[in-house]
Order: sequence, then C-alpha cells, then structure tokens
Amino acid sequence: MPGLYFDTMERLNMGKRVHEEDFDIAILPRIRRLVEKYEIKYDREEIIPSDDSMADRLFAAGLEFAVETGMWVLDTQKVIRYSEDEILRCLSNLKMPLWFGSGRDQVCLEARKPESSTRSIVLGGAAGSSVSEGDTYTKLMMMYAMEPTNDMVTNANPAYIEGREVRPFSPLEVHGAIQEVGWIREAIRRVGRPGKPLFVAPGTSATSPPAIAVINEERGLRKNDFIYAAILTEMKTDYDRLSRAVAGLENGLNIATLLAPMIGGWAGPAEGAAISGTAATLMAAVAYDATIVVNHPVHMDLKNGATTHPQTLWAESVIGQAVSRNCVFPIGQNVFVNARAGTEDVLYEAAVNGIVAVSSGQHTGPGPSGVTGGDDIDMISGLEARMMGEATRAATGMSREQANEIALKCISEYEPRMAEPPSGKTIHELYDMSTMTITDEWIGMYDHVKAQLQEWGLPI
Amino acid sequence: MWSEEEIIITSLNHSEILRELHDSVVEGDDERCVAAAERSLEAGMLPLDAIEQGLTPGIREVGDRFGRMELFLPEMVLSARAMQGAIAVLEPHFAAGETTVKGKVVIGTVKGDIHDIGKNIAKVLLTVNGYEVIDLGRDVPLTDFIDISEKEEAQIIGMSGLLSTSLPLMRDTIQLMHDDEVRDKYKVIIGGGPTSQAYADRIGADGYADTAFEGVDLCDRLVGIEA
Repeated sequence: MPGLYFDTMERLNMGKRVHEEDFDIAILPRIRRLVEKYEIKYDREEIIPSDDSMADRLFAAGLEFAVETGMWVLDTQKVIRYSEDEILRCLSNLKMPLWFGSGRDQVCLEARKPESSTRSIVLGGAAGSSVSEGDTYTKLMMMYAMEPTNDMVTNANPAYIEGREVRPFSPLEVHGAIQEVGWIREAIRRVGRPGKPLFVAPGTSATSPPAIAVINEERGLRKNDFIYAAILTEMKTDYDRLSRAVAGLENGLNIATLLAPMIGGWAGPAEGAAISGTAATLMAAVAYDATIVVNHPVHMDLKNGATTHPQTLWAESVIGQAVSRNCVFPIGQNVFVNARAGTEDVLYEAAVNGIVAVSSGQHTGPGPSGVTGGDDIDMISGLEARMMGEATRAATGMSREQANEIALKCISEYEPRMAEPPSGKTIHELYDMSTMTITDEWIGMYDHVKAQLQEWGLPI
Repeated sequence: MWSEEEIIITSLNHSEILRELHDSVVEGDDERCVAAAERSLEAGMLPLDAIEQGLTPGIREVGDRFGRMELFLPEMVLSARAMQGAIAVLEPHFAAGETTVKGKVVIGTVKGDIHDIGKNIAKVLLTVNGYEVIDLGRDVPLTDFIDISEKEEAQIIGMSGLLSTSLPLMRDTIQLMHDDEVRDKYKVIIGGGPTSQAYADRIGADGYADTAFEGVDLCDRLVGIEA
C-alpha cells in the first residue's frame, strides 16, 4: 500500500500539544525562508510559467515544508509528521495508469507532465453551487453526463431536500445525501452512461456521516468511485476528514483530497500558497492514501472562492508542474468561477482553467462551479462544463508559452469585472428544461467565445 | 512650572515613544510594544494619547498594508497581539469612564462548518479596530452564540460560514433569539461565501459584510459610530 493512512491513525495523538494559533503563525516565517531559498517567484505575465527549474525547486520547497510543518490535527491539537524518506517512498510506489468506471464508460487516469499530449481526465460538475432538488438537479447531472469531453460526473448542492433546508448533523442531512447520489445515478442511466464513474462530495453533507452513508453498491457510490476527504487550510486535518478517508479506502473507493491553499492567508503571498499547496498534495498521498488531489487555491480578495484570479491560476499551474514533473501523483484542478451562467465572463473563466490545468500536467475539474446559496439558486448550467472540457481537449499538448498567451487573453476579458462579476441567469432561463434545449442567446454567447478562442490560436 | 528646555525634552521623549509604539505594532513585536507602553507611563503620557497617537496609527497602517497584501494574516495577528499587550499595560491607568473599546462582539463559524479563515480575519480586524472580540471558533452550536453573548453582555453577534448548509443555522439562531426573547438585545451580522445582503434581509439579520474590512464598518454603524 503506497500511503500510510493506517499509520496516520496511529500518529494522531503523538507528540506534544500545539496551540492552533502557534501552528498557524509559525507557517509564514518558514514560507518566507523557503521562497528565498528556492527562488520561487510569481510573475503576472507568466500565469503558466515555462520554467522547469522553478517547478522542480517548488517541489523541493514543498517537500521541505511538508516535513518541517507536518499536519495539525484539530481534535487532538497535535501534529502528524512524516519523514522525507516516508513521503518519497510513498510517491515512488504509486502506480499508473488507473482505470475507473465500467463498460464503455471506463476512464483511464494516466500520468501526465506539463505540455503532455496524454489525455487528461475532465470532471464536469457543480460541487458548491446550489441547485433546486429533483428534476432540475437530475437534468443538470444529465447535462454533465452527456458531454462527450466529461469523463466523470461530480455533484451539485441541492438547495432543499423534500422542500426542507438541510442542517449539519441532522437525519435530513443523511437522507439528502443518499437522495442526491440517487439522482446522479438516475441521471447517468437516463443518458445511457450507467458505467460513468462518480466523483462526489454530497452537497447536502457538511459532515462525515452522510458522506459515508452514500457508499452503497446498489444506488450510491460504488467500488472505484471517488469520495472526498479534504485537507484543511493550511496543513490541517481532523477526525471527520480522516474518517471519510478510512471509510472510503476500506470500502474500495478512491480518495479525492481537496485542498485550498489561501493567497493572503496563513501562508502569505501566491508563492507561499504554492509551497503550502505542494506540501499538502504530498500529505494527501501519504496521510490519506489519496488517488488524486483536487487543488483549489483561493484568494483573499474573492470571497466566493473563485480560482480564476491571476494569482490562483499561477498557483494552480506551478503546483501542477512541480508535482507532475517529480512524481506520478495526479492533480485535478477544482474550477470555481466568479461570474454566473449566462455570461461570456463565465465561459472565459471556464476555458482558462482548462487551459492552465492541462498545459501544467494536471487534470481538469471538478467544475466549473461557484459558491452560491441562500437566494442564489440554479445560477449554473451544463454549458460552462462543455467550455471547460473543450478548452482542455484543445489545449492538450500545447506549449506552456502558447497556453500562457491564450490564458492571459482570457483573463483580460473578465478581469475588469472581477470585483463585481455579472450576475447571470438561472438554468431555467438559459434552457428549455423540459427538453434540455439551450436558448439561442446562451448558445450564441458560447459560439462567440469559442470563435474568439479560435482566433487566439486555441484549436477548439 | 516646566522650563522651556524641559518641555522640549519631554516633547521629544513623547514623540520618540509614540514612534516606538507605532513601529513595534507594525513589526508585531509584543515585547517592544509593552516596553514602549511602560515608558509612556513613566514619561507621564496620558494612556489614551499613547493609544490614539501611537498604537492606533500603527495598527491602521498594518490594516492598510494587509488590504494591499503587503502584510499577511500571521503578521496582522502578531501586530494585534502586540497592541493588546500594550493596552493591557495602559488600561489600569485610564481615568474613570475612559475606554477604547467600541463594543463587544461574539463571533464564530456555525455548526458543521470548519472553514474559519474569513472569520479569523474578521476577528483580527475587529480587534485592532477597537472591539473586544469573543471568538467561539469553528463548528459552533447555535445555542452557544446566544448563551455566551448573554454571559458576556455582548452587543453584536457575528456568524460566518462557507458552506451553503451553514445558512439555515444562521436563520435558526435568529429565530431562537426571538423565541428566547433576546433578539432586541443584539445586532446580528453574517458573512462568508454563500451569504449575501438579500439572505441577511430574508432571515432578519441586522447586517451583512462582503469582506472583513466591510465588517468593521458595519459594526461601527451598528454601534452608532460613523466612519
């Protein structure tokens, strides 16, 4: 077994207690030293750097940071530690390729490198976005499952379950999660893709009981599907996250470890988030025995967690390059958009994330989605995932230099409105939901953005 | 009566001490900051002058630099610690009725949600802007927001969350405050990824802040301080 998750359970209560704020405050001085030692430098004009040497230095910095920092455990207030040798042994024993799903819907996850022409996995879905329950939810999932570029389907967040709001730790949370995965299963069956692998963090579940309750061969997550278990920001974990990992692993599922290094937070600037994100990626392999990392850098200026800020895109690119050049552990890029469905901005945001991911040795998605909720429901559609997927396929094998040029042009399209992104429209306004037909206005925007990307040199 | 020379020396001393208070806050050096606060008392400065002319401009600079991402969260925490250390030295010497505290805020991330960085930023910014902040942490039961606010005699309750599942708990807390007949005693504010002004209006919160900086302005308005 490559990972050390069994040892992780042993190490949760070892060593001295460390107060959380002391753990947090110790991060930045360490980061500053490593940024200088390894000469990690953010460049606004090079969102996708072509510097192999910096990618390798970032890997070394991430490894050093992981060994020095360890991972703080919320429940025990202790720090789990792994040696450099343990981490490198784990990485050197990872196997590729891996297969998921069944029948003609099987998907092959292969090791990729920057600029690699190897096919990446695309994960279409809307985790984080609030969507009406039942028919709307199911049809949104059908849209993702029907997209030819999408390899796996990821959930959205049902706004209500049986018309009721879901509270964490409540019985309705468990019921809602089971219901939700049932809708996804129904969706992939209805479009004739019953063997598609699922990549799910039930949107109704903030806690582990419902996340674990959906492991069910008949109507839930099956062997070889994916279940989420996050590493908390920065370099933290808890019993809840690790319990999901243990339940998943011992039931034959794959662990997808979400991590969200924060630019402006405990790790400081973009360079710090890149080091912390690289380190957390290595921790996911070792401590969680994860199959894939879902990287989601966030920026202090964007409260909705969008990954389309120039600095978050840079962090995604360099973490992807660092890890993919130095081991076969795969990274997916959680794509969170700032604007909403029904706008050209959101299509450029979806495209740029795909371009950055695939040219940097990564896989694309899950996404594109955005943090919504409350009164902000159904502001998402399947077309953003189509753009993300098509841009990913088109940029596969492209040089980082050319991908960077196109990425910068995409950013220039939406950046002026990042502080107040356009509000967009609901899926009900953008589609005839009875037939799932896209309105002329929405597909017209799509065609316009696609034509623009072609003009910039993306063979989409 | 002081001679002109003594006045000039005292003034120079005061100005040097104020500079030291300012710089030690900016650098987050709590030992230096506490020492400067002690020197200010020895030099006969009024404690409120030391705060308003030394510590406050320093922490304001820290906040501005944090907003421009020239400084980061850990550095702001250290600056806040330094300032609080100095205030602890100065506070016992306040004249009767004097205070620098604008109000007391109970803050936390609601039950089931462990995403607390936004709340932590809000906590530090409120603290350095003159609020006493009781931080309940993450994954906070809704009853704790009320019970601890009652015990602490807070003016403002701040609830934060990143997950959409956090939203109903914010509404539940406000409803429970009505049930307990304490709603009118507190201003309730919300923040975090899925929150919005529209949602705040719908659940009957007193305010919503898009950023931690806006949260400080919001609290100022709610306690009757104009920016």
